Amino acid sequence: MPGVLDPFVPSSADPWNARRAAHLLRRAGFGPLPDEVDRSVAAGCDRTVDALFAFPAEPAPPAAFDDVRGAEQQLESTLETLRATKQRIDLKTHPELRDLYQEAGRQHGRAIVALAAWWMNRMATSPAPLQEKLVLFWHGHFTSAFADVHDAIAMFNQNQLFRRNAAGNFARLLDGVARDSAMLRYLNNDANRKGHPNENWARELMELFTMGIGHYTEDDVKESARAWTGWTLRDYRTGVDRRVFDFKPMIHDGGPKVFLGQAGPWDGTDIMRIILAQEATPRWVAGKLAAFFVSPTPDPALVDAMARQLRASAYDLTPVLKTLFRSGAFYRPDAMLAQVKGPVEFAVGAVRHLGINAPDWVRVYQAAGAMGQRLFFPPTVAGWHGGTSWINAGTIFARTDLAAGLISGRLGPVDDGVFPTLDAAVTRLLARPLAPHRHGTLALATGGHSSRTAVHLVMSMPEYLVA
Amino acid sequence: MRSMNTRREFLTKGLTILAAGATAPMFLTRTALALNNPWDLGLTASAAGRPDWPTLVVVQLGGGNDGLNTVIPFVHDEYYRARPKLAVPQQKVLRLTDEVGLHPALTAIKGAYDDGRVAVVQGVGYPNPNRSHFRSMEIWQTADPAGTGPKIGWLGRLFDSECPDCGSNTGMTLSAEMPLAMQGNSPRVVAVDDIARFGFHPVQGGGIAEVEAFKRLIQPVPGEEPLVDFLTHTEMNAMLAAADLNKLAGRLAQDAGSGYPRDPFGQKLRVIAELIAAGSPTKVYYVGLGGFDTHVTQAGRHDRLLESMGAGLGAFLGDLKTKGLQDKVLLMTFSEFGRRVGENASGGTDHGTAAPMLLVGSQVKPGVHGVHPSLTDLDQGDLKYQIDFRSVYSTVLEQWLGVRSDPILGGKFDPLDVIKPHVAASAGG
Repeated sequence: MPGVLDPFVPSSADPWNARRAAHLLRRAGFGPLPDEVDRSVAAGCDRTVDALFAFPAEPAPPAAFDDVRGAEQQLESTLETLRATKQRIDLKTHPELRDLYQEAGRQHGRAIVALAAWWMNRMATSPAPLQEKLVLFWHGHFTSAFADVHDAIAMFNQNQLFRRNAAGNFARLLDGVARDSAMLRYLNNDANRKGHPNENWARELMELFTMGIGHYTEDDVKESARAWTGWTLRDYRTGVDRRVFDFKPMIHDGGPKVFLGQAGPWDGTDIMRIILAQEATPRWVAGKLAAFFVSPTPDPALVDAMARQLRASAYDLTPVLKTLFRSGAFYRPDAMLAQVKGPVEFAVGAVRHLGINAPDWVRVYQAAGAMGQRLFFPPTVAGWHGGTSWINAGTIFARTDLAAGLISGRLGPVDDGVFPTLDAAVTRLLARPLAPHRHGTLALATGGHSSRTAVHLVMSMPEYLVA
Repeated sequence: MRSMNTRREFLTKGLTILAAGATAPMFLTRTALALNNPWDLGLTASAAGRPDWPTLVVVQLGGGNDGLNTVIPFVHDEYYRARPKLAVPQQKVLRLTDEVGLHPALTAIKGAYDDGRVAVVQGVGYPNPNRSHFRSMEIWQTADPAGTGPKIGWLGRLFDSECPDCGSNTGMTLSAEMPLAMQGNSPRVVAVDDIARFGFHPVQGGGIAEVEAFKRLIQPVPGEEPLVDFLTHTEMNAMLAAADLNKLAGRLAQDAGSGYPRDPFGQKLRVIAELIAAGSPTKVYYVGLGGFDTHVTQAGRHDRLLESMGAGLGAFLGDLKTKGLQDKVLLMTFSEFGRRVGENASGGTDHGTAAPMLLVGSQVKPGVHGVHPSLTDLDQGDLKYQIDFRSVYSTVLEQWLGVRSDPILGGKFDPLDVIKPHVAASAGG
């Protein structure tokens, strides 16, 4: 009996061709280019999929972080000096501190923009774009927002955590997230202490990050919150130490608890263990992956099969993703061109398609924000809804505006040589022919020639908005 | 992911509408595809719409506004016992009645209340309260606590059933994302982040020819892939909306003053007042003010948010009066839930349940309506709701817009006595 995740078997009727290769590279990256598609066709599906997972070594932080570290050090050495005098320190008695705090805050605000630009550049230039696509996925799944964390270095550390574990093990990633300083601050678990539990992390951990609504009760949230007490930051007062996880037994509630029907003196590690053992968890995680990589309304049978595999692989993500990318289900008509490109995906892809090597990434990042996706500023803890919710009358124009801005060369020099003819432009931008009536209208409007106008028209058409 | 089901339904129904031409917007029933110029705005944009409707402004306070510190039961000891740090001192409360008063940051609202322009509806919620931001907001926006129906907004259903010939700007949100509340089966709403820049701009050298080419390229054609078809319709809708808005933008006042606070919330209300004054066909505006999820260090943060809200609403009311529009506009505030009675250990409050709603405008029956929920008879530490939010919706639908509320809300919800009788209520249920 055929399984929904059975591999795609190329045949003369159903070949491994440019259409399928482009589909895979679009989903596993950002705006594939013609030579990449050609290489993938020649290599075949299996080898292409394997190559997608060759992730590079961990990158260094952006150079812009030197400034924010400098500002933090200045603030802290001033604070240290003051503490040594044993006098009362507050902003009223020491107004110079206010300036130092504000400067540090400003530097963090600049650094987060620099970080977003740095990340978008990685999406465009990494030899393994799948890794960055997965980092983007995890950023929208395990959400944290700079507006609440106020620390660009902490957000970078979280970003690296996602990169390190992008296609690794979900259980390990979850453990990393539970100890991540940005998450601890975003969902207030740093303030969760014995006798005065704060439920924010405990709730969202189950509702959004692991099982989904309907698989736990309010009592489970309360008991979980108790278990997570004491999982906090080493010292919130200094830059370095507020980015370091620490377990503080003094404020931990080690008393008996009942969580998801199991009794014991649970702490955070136990909560994760119990959650990971639930049926709902692999199904929820598989569902999120399928919605991101396959289609907004994935086939339940596909999700079930992925969930079973995720459980069987003890939460190792690479085998599940490889199987998915090799499966017949991934190349079915209902999976092809079923996604609306998210703003960041659209913007990075557009930069690559136009051959802009060193764009003003800050402006591109701002444009993606105008389209509804500002990196490091998810609108709610649920992340970005995605799918057709990206598209409304306003965001459409934000896309056509960015396309016009990029094509104009104002955001970086465009390689005009990549669009010698109208057909070449369509191939490069869409990796598939246009429907005859559209092609006819386009040819009429452009006189059959390539031009900046023609490129802008193609990038503004619905066909360019989908992936 | 739930909103995707909405879209799939829309996609299938959208194609049916296109084929059958039954309840399609005017430009499609005029077999626009067969016309040489389906963009003739004389044919398309002059759709009847609902000129008989007054205007509704929905203000969404995102994150769960702490109702207990907004409309304060200062006369109850339990309030002070439950909130040793966060309770507002009695002498600072802006008293409305012998029992409740407003947070001191809401001086503008107090002023409007004294002018008879504010109705406070207490204890609004719904049965089996949900304390998830996402789910509770979805409930308020779909008016479907059971969650069994399709994910379509209550305002979307309003437009679908009561406004089939309406143009594409009937609803407008001043944000990048379209709230579920406004999403219906047909695209009659626009999301506008920046009125001045809203539209399709060609590349240099493209000119009008490029704009015209773009319009031809996005004309819907039968038999297209569903997603491309949805996008084509949305792009076409966007172009029609832009044409209308560009005309109006030319009439927007240039002065930067006009008494509104400079923050985004105040400026959005300013734009709304201008649009109404310029004769925009939009009948429902949606504005959000976020940041109310005050789990930690609520004092200060909540004050500033309320100040923003109050100052914006105050300026809006004053502006409407100056423009002679005050009788035509009703504003309603809501949040996805209130917050817990007891403060937490981080100087904040956690997700709660029932909370007050404000109805603001010259046509409200001013005063404090309903009963304040008991502070002792609680539901696991949370207030028990007294009024179902769908009653507030039915009041607005029937007594302000003059439409039957049952089909939109999926049932009968007793309206409240908070709106003065007026002309538009003639068709009410």
